[in-house]
Amino acid sequence: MALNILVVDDSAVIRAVISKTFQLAEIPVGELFQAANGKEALEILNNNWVDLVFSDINMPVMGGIEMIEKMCEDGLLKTIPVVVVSTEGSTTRIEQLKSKGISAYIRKPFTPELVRKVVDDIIGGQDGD
Amino acid sequence: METDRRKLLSEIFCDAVEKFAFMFGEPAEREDLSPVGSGYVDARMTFEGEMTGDIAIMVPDKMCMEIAANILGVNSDDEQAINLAIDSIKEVLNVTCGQVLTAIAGEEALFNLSIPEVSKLDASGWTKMLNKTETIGFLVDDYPVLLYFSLNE
Repeated sequence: MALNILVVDDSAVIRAVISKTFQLAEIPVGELFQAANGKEALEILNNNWVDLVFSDINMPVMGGIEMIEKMCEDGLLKTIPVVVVSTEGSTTRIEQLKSKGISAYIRKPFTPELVRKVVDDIIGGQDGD
Repeated sequence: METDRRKLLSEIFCDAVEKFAFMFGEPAEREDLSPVGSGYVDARMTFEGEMTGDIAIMVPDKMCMEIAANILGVNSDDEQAINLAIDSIKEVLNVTCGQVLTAIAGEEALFNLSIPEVSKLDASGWTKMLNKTETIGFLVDDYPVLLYFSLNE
């Protein structure tokens, strides 16, 4: 099944790299949405069907943490798995994000194999529900 | 800056450019890092938490396109590499900053990072940064590169 994926990062180069990584990892992508910050992402989420979100934390206008908090306030959006992709390596930050319900945390730089594993774990977990 | 910290910063930066931009770097002497052109890019960001300070990377502007090309897997004269050149050096800085803070402050330390900002630097600005004690110089795929790391005491 092809996945509709939203990539949220203020860096266009990272959005391009993540998009390319999906191809390299042979992840079946239906529609690929892109947003430069949390506010843009919420607009896309409210107007489109999205299966999976890959998001940075540190962004202008609205960061990833605020975006995740807003998603949690919405009955439908809170069911969408969020994978945080960040340069930060703080275990305190990762625990903080996990307590907000994120599905996985990937630290930059990352490999296609890691992205594939994370997506497989999330989708496999959902299939098993 | 202590020798140990300079060594740590050097290792982390070289590892970051190799893994993220597929370029190979090594520390260089100041005499090998004299300005070679007129245009340079200065990417910098601040961090606040268990330590507060700023970190910056300075590169010749032409190198930014090569970093973008390497990251994207395209030629350096490709339109995408040209358009994303500045974004690319910001991300090299972001990755380096994240790795440096974890290495120095430990895995539990929490930081607030600013959004990287970029400005132009001329040859005199380059020389000024080169002469700062907090600056470490590198040759990355033969390009001169400066890494600046400073803690607010």
